[in-house]
Amino acid sequence: MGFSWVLKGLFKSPTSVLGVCLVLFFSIIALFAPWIAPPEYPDEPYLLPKAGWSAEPSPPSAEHPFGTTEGQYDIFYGIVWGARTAFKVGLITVGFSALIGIVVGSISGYFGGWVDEVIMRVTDIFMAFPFLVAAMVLTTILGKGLDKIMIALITFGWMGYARLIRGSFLAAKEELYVLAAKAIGVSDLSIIFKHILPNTIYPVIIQASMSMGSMVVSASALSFLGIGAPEGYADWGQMISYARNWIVGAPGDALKYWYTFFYPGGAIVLFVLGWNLLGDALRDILDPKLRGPRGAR
Amino acid sequence: MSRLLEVLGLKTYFFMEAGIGKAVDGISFYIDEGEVFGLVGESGCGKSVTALSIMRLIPPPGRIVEGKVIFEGEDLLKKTSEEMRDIRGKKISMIFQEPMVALNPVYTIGFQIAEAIIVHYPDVSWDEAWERAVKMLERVGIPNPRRRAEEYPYQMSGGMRQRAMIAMAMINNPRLLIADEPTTALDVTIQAQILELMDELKREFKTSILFITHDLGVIAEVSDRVGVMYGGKIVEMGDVFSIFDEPLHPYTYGLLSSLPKLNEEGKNRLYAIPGVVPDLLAFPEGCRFRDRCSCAFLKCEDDPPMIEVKEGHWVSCWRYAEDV
Ligand SMILES: Nc1ncnc2c1ncn2[C@@H]1O[C@H](COP(=O)(O)OP(=O)(O)O)[C@@H](O)[C@H]1O
Ligand code: SF4
Ligand SMILES: [Mg+2]
Repeated sequence: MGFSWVLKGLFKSPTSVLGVCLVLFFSIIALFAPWIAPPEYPDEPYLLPKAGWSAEPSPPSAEHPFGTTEGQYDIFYGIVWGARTAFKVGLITVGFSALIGIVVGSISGYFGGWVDEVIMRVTDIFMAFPFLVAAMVLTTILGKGLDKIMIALITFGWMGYARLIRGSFLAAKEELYVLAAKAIGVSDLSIIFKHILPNTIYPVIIQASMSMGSMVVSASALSFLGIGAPEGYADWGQMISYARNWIVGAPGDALKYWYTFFYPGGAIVLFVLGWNLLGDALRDILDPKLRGPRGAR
Repeated sequence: MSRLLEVLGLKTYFFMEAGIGKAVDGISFYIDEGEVFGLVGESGCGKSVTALSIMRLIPPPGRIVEGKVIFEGEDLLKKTSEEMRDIRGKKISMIFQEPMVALNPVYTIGFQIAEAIIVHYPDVSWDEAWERAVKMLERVGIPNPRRRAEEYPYQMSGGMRQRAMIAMAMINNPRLLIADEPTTALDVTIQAQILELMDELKREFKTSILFITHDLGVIAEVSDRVGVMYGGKIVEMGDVFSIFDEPLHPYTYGLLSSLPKLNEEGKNRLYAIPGVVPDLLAFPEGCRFRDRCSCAFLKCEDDPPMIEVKEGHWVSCWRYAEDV
């Protein structure tokens, strides 16, 4: 299996190209945030600069290309640094959820029997909670803050990966190469992580890519509800919550404050779209069912 | 010659909802040092389960319920799983029927052979293990071994993969090699080459071999002694000449008469043993071959004993019991 071959696959369909471009676009923004929107307080670059004290948003101008939102926070700055926040939240929550899910699911599927029984019952319990509500309650218990949101999202976000990996392991452990590895004396842990996992990791990569978007939406939702990012923090969810009072516009001009929700809303939509398209593309490339069993790699 | 392996009264059962599958039901045999013991029988008679029982790699719902597997004087069934892991791949190794799927698709051939060294000798450096892997690939007749070591299994043909599997199995110079139908999936010319290779390696490394196949022709070619299995039991056992020249068990005749070359007078038609191997759960009481045996008589409703008809030639059939 080659990396170049995955890359080639990514440029086959227009939708996957769009996905790659969007993800790349946001990556560049996040990476180069300090140059694109130089922070006013270098020690705390995620704090949005304030252009005054009036509550009413002001429209785009030369000084504030996307305008300012409620509290005179600069929207352009918030979008740029919010991209960093989005990547941070997405990568950390998805990374840790996937990691927990992989460890739990592979042990469950490989050993089977009562180990599997216990682990799967625990997984069921976690899955019984509605995701967003559970994450909200846990965040509230832990206290406000982005880190608390991430802990909550990870706590209720690993089960899908665990189930996915468990299913793959149930099938993969019957493969002859696993028996052959046992027959040369390889230990169980090494068989799990060195022999089976590389053969079963693709669905997790696809799933992880897909959920980058949804994790960021969930985090934004919690921020929107006011239990996430602290006041004035560059976070797309919070920026939408600043737009809450202005969405209806003014009498006779419904779209008077369009910029307050258009930019952060658009950023979230495009970010999610990008990751979903990328996930779709990866599935088309990597899913063994779509390319026949043991297809040439 | 001294005794390397002795299997005594081994029973391996599968505990399923539909009932207990007695896949291996009280078999005994031994293998001496430097000897090739052939285990032959139709598909489903318990050959692979026997092999995996020796390796202690029976998957659930299977379990070894009784017996002893004495290897170098010690009972493997009493070993801890760590001790067993140390024996596998070092003292006893195994090769399989389907070389196409017995190698891990995501690692190179060289990696997998080198790993087999490192697992047992963690002090060996990776570079040295790799060098030894390359040498072994050369020894098993893989041309261009240095380049081929860097290839993935899918880049190799079935015969090459089986050679690579053999290299992996032999790399730590095991005392016993279990070959479970190593040539069944290969075409005839490749089959002959692999058999020849195994014969050479056996001499060179002084390894004993448990050679499993359903093909009597192959058995005749490679083994010193033969055990014929039917329905989880060894029904006849002896040196290769006794088995082929004076078969005693009705099942053994049946198998031999279905061999093309021994059937010349029978025109074009091959003899086939009547009936089919029953489902594991549906074997008759007493002699398991009873409902396919043309010689069956009343006594056969009891389990036939193992009778030594001639020195070293055993058969499990009531026809050879003295007092009936
Ligand atoms: N994992 C398993 N579960 C249930 N039954 C099994 C399992 N493996 C083997 N058996 C049964 O054990 C019997 C012997 O199988 P095996 O040793 O593989 O036969 P063969 O002689 O063809 O190698 C078969 O009837 C098979 O159905
Ligand atoms: S014991 Fe009876 S049924 Fe079994 S093989 Fe001998 S004669 Fe046939
Ligand atoms: Mg078999």
